[in-house]
Amino acid sequence: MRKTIVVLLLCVGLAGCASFGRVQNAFSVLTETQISPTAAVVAANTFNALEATATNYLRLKRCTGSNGPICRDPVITAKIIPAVRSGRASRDALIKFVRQHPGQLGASGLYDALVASTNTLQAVYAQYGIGGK
Amino acid sequence: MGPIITLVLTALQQLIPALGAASQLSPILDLLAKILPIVIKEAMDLAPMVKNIIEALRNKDAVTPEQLDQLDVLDAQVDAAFEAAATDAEIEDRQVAP
Repeated sequence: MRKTIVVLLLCVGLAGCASFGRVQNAFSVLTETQISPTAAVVAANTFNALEATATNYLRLKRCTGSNGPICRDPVITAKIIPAVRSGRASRDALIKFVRQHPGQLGASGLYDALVASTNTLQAVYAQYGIGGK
Repeated sequence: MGPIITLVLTALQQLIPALGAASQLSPILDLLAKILPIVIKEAMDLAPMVKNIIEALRNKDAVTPEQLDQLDVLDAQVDAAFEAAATDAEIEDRQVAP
């Protein structure tokens, strides 16, 4: 009920209550989603795919100014390494939860942390064309 | 082809929590089955992840201990490879930095 009141108040500031349904749905998804073990496994594997892509990039020769375009940029390296390490911690925490609570739905916090890391990596790859030919 | 595959995988990751009936999974499984040969051809190191995702979606109602053990093995392999590459890159960058 409290969430509904909050959404209604938001609706007052929005362009008409035609938006109410969409806001309510989005809010519900954000606050009520519980993550299934399957979703956690899918998320972990997706992250691993991005981590493998990061590894391939880090194995490239360092850019010297004359060996491009396929080379490893230290600026990009400095973004990728912490993102992967952070994501790895989130992945491990999420799967640990799955192991310790077999068959149970989990709160979305651990999953969201992993998704955030995945999105960061995906954005870096998209920005710099990493993984493409 | 790499970025397209990672985009697909990332989109899947965000879609899965919203899935309900098993019937919603069939199109996703079909898509993954179609991209798997491409992944194997173009980005072989991503193939185990795609296969694991397919297997997880097929058993949507339960994640087995065997799947988690497989994931642990894959995690260890991927992490070790990444750390080796990251360490080398960090050392090289420190040596070159002014």
